[in-house]
Amino acid sequence: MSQNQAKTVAVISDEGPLINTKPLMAPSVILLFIWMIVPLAMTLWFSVRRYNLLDPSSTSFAGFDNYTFLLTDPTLLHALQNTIVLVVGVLAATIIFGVACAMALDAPFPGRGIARLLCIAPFFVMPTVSALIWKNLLMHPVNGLFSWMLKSVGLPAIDWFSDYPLISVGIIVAWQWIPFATLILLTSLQSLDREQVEAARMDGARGWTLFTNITLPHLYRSMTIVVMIETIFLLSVFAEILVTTSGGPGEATTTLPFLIYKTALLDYDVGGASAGGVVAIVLANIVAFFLVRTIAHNLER
Amino acid sequence: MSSVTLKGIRKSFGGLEVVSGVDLHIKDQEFVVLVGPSGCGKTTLLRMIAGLESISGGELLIDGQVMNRVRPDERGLAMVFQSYALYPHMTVADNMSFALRLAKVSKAERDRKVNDAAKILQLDHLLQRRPAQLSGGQRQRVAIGRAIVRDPKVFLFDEPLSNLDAALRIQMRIELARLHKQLSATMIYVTHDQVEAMTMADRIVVVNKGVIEQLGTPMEIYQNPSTVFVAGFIGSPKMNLFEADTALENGQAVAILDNRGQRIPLPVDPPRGARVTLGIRPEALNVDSQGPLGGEITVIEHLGGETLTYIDIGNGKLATVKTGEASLGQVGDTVRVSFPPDRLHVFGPDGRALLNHRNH
Ligand SMILES: Nc1ncnc2c1ncn2[C@@H]1O[C@H](COP(=O)(O)OP(=O)(O)O)[C@@H](O)[C@H]1O
Ligand SMILES: [Mg+2]
Repeated sequence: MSQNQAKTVAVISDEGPLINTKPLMAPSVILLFIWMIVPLAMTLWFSVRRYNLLDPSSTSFAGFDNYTFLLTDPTLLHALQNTIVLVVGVLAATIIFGVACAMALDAPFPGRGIARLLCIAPFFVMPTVSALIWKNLLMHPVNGLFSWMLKSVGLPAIDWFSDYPLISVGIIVAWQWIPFATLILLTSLQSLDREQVEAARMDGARGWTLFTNITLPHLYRSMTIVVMIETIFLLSVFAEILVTTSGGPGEATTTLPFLIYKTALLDYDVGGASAGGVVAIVLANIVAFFLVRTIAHNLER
Repeated sequence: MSSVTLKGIRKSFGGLEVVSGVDLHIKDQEFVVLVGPSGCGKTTLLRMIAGLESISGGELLIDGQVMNRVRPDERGLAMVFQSYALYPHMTVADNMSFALRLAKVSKAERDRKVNDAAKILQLDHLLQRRPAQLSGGQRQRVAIGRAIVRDPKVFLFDEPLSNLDAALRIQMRIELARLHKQLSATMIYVTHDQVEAMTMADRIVVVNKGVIEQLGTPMEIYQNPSTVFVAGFIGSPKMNLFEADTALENGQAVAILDNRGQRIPLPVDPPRGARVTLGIRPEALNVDSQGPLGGEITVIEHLGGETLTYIDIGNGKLATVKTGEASLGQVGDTVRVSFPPDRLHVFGPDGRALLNHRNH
């Protein structure tokens, strides 16, 4: 018995696993590869073509014309700016409100279970639905809840989507993502060692000092995870913009994904849209590079 | 001067009373060990002294001042937790100086105190590390250092050695005893390990089910356990405890053991027909062919310097005999043992000792 085992061990260490696993893994690896590489290759291909759907029969090689046009167009810069403002703003809002909600929901009070459920609920509402609700029921300048509230204290109504378009979109997106941050931060809070808090209390920390010196550092890790995951999704926010402002007024809420959509499906310029897509990929990779580096550094500790 | 006085301290969680009226006076510079089985309320008692748990009833005084409602950081105490509870995101130096920083002590003063404490605990070379980079023993020392730096009136320890391996535990035990001398501090130490209590304490407080069972110096408690519980809890190997009936034979009170009806004359007169428990320390038993107890040797344990022999005195009841390097015989041999009359402990039906041994 033990001799047999010794032999098996020897075989594994000499020649790798007993079964050749490569053919078994191949289908999924190939599928994944095609899944990724074909759209990427097509995007790269179209980005160097002159290709407009209004005249699909006349296509030709464009070289870097699409890129030159795009990169010299102030619209792109504006879209990039909007994207960054939206992503960073929503990240900041979700972290701040997420921490606040998590702290509140961690403290014992009657009805905590129901409060937790309600606080998590927005996460399960579809983006289009929540955007429509905000647009028509809450932020509507005539029928909205907010304008009614302002009117009842004697203030003029605000036309949210024309006066503060990007902020309004940001509020809607933040409303959907705060529950996610709350959930992650709440679990993290619950894992905070009770004795550590008590040691800090004996050391004289309480209230704000306890929060900044013990609780917040404990939450850094999960904040990093929230930032990483949310960034991935926030870079591609689309439905909320389409439903509420359609990128307007003017270009005020046109982000990079929305610009690509406009170029491809409103201007029918497949070449230009593909070039925009490539720019987005490069941007996402730059962000991913820094994110992964800081996160790896943070998680190591 | 820093003394701690507990007057009728109680604690209930909901309807459950966990600490039921503890009276205790701890003198300045005393090392008091609270010892008891797990779940008896030691931690709760310590946490009430620390101010981490509210006091349901009674009075807590530190240096004669009532402290029931004073905040934990204003009681002038420092606590070392079982899990060490170091702040993982701070360096060792920052961990130790945290309390001083919150108290707005100047940087120079903080550094001086941290360095002093680090020197006492041999942590000098570790000051810039984080807790995750330290071994268990080192973390333990940092936790103690964090307490020392605050220069507290009283040190509180909650089973600080229970996460360490056996060798390190013995070493830390010695270091703690040394530290107590060096700092001349009052220390209250909680443990379930009677060896720690015996070796370190000036005074032991044996706690059971939320009340103080007995209180005294280690030797007092070892020689004069006031209840069956204390007799069984303190001392290793455990004291031999035998249940017995009592009777009066020829004007002499005797105990009749349950096992084989062995008769043992009693130095006290228990109430007529009372059930008693007899206690004899394993080292008090000697081979004696005329001895009252006897039976077959079932197990022999050689521990090197000492030998434990287990004798079946009837119905599977084992008597433990402790000797030096030599054992009493071999497994299967039948031996008889006796004991000096003054080493016999007799406990009444209520579990309380019926006589006191003053001297040995
Ligand atoms: N916060 C609490 N709520 C309810 N019961 C508790 C709480 N803390 C301790 N207890 C109970 O009090 C008893 C004593 O606990 P503890 O003081 O931790 O014992 P020890 O430290 O002696 O092992 C245990 O039965 C425990 O279950
Ligand atoms: Mg305990």
